Amino acid sequence: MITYIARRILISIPVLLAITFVLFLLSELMPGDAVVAMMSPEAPVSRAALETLRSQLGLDQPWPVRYARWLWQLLHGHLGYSFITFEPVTRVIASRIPATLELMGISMLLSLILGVILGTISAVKQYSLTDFVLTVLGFAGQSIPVFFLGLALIYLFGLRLRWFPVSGSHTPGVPPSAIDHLSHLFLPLLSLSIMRIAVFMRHTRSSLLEVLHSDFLSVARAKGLSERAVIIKHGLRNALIPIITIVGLNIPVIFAGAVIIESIFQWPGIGLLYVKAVQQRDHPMIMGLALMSAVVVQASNLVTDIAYAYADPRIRYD
Amino acid sequence: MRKAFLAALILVMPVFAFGAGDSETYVEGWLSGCGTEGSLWTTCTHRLDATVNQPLVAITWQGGLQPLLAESWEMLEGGKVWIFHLRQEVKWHDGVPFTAKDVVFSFNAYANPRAGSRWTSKVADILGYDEFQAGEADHLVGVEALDDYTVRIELKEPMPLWIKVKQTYVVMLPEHILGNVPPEQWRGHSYWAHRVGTGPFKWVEYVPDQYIKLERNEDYFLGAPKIKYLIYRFYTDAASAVAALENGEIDTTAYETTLIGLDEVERLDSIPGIDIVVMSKGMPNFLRLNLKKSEWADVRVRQAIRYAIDVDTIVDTVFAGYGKPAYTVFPQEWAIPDGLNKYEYNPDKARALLEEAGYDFNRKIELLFHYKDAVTRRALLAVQQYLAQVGINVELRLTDAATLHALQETGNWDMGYFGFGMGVDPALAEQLLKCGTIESGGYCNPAVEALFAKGVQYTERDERVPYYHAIARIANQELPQIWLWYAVRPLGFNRRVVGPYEHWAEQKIIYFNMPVYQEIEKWYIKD
Repeated sequence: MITYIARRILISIPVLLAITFVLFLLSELMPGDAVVAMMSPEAPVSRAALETLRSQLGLDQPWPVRYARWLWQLLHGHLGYSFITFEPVTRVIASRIPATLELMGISMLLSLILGVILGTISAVKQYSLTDFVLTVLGFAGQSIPVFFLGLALIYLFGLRLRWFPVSGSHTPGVPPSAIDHLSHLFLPLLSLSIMRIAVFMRHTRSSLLEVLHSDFLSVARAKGLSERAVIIKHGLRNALIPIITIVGLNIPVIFAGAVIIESIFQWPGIGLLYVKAVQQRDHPMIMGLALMSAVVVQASNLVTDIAYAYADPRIRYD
Repeated sequence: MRKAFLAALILVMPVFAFGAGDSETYVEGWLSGCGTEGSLWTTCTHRLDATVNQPLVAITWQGGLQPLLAESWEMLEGGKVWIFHLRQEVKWHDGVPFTAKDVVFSFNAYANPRAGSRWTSKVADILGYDEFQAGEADHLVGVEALDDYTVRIELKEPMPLWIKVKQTYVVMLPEHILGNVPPEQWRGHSYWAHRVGTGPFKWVEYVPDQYIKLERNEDYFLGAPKIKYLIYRFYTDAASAVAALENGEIDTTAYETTLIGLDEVERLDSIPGIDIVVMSKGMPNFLRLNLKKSEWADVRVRQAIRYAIDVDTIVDTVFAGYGKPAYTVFPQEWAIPDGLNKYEYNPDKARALLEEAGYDFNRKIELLFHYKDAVTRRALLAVQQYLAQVGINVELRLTDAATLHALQETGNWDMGYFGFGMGVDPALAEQLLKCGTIESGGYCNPAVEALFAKGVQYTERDERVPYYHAIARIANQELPQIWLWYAVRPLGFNRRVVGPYEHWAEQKIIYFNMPVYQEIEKWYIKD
């Protein structure tokens, strides 16, 4: 197992390098650069000012030079400075990650727990009215676009009922309080989670159904175990293996942030940062964020594979 | 047990109702990404140049001039020399006295080639600007401090309007903070995330992508503001900003972009406590063509395009009757002469002109634009249909400002939909019709340039009228850009605050990219 992990880590280094190279090329291909992105088409600009700024940002160098420079900085543990705010990229990302982790992490956890519970109920009570209702809700939850859901929730809870605020992570200007923060968290959390709950519910249901009819469960029942022990201790444990894969695939999403939800609810996370960076052609920021994503994807894939091996003794890595 | 818990949870819900702006706090909605841009480079952060920082003399909401950091001024030699008498006993928010050296520093900052200011053209008329830009001088010789409270500015040529169309853009910056910093480092300096100014409000805190909080400046020279706290809340999504207005989280929507669609105006206006003002953007919207390509250089083709589009119907339906058709470049009524060609909708005439010009009807072109709002999209869809009717096939392509600029620079484009801000004065339109600028799309007419030069040599409007009328007629006949309509933008106000609605409603035109004096120190919140 150790050799397996070591090999995976070693392979991931050239993969990451290749990813950064491709990403750099892709961001070069975007028309316009940071300087031009700062312009408004409705206001006049002096060309001399543009050129000065370009050389300040090092944008007048050819791209191989710029890539080499960026790589050199990276090897020294530095991700460069934002073209727009001139802040160190690492500092900006570090300050925005907690908000994203909070929103996405809680959403993931909540969805997992609720999804598995509802999926189990659905599977155990297959073909009943409960199952039918949950299945319909599941499809609905998966089909509704997340931005629509977000706006609909804003309308219902923010405007009609006035129960929750519609934007931000806390009320501006007042000292931070837990209740204030939770009330701001609620709507974005709900928008994100509804779809995830549906996904986890569906997967749990189908996976558990497969397991429920297997021989070893019949043995467990014959042994005289309670139905609850049969389902949860023996059935669910085995049914959750595919769920591990899904959770593993979703971990990078936790870090990437939900761009749309963060825009709608003005949640100060990574997603919003990413969108702005692309719009403003803020290359150091784009590269920093993309690199972080790539690392997280590699790491989570590795963790998922290892978890898989632990969960399912049938799987062996040499 | 479970039911009791659920019931308790539901009962507790309304407790989550949050505090929106209270009786001490006025909240304005703003655009995410604008908050900490520096005055020298930004296109959307100019509010801070009216509340925290200030110019010497500001333009007022009524289009006049308000002495701020300059108590009075003298115009000498027909507008070639300006003497500013600074207000004494003014302190920066950190207690340091404001003096003439801040003024000299600020004008030099805008002109400094190493700072790369986008607004450097506003100080380009000052004597010594070209030498400074070329590196032959290390400061502006035309700006001189005569003593601690008097500044003398000499221009290259007399320009009576200079104080109104150029000076009003220049904001005073603290020499004691930025003076020792190399100009290349001004842009990313921490000053912009915690400004020190002389204005009615002081900076308290900035939470990235959330808000900026300002606090009343008790020592403000025009009197301490009645409002205690001013908060700017950031929004990325238009719908969220509008929702925030509706539920009281913000008192005013942003003017830098379209947040309220024209079709929402009636609904929002009918909400008690909320009023909408449909402002003129002080700009025409037009189709700019790549005049370097022979097919667009033919004036008949451009006229054909204008004849082909039924602008009146678009204004009545898509713009819900707001806004007006445009026949020439200027939005100001006084600059528009009578007898302009109104290009009444005439698809037959359009087709005839196209055939006469030998237009290739098989050509497929892209209509580029960057406005994301639904109203613009609908208007452009209509334009696309009208053009298709006469045989011009366009494909609409929404892109961003950076791409638009890049395409125009490489010459790899045909047609684009743009606007150009000139609400303060028609003189600002010069950039649009000047030889060699990107905004002109390749148009070059020395007669027009000469007329613009003459127009700024007088202060009295009656003396300027003939020149602008002449430009307007040329712009109407030659259609260097195809003028479509004058843009409007609705702004939303919560009437619990007395001041914003009243001033914006009187102002009627949005003045972009500059601080506007709106008597904010007199605004107050009704209890």
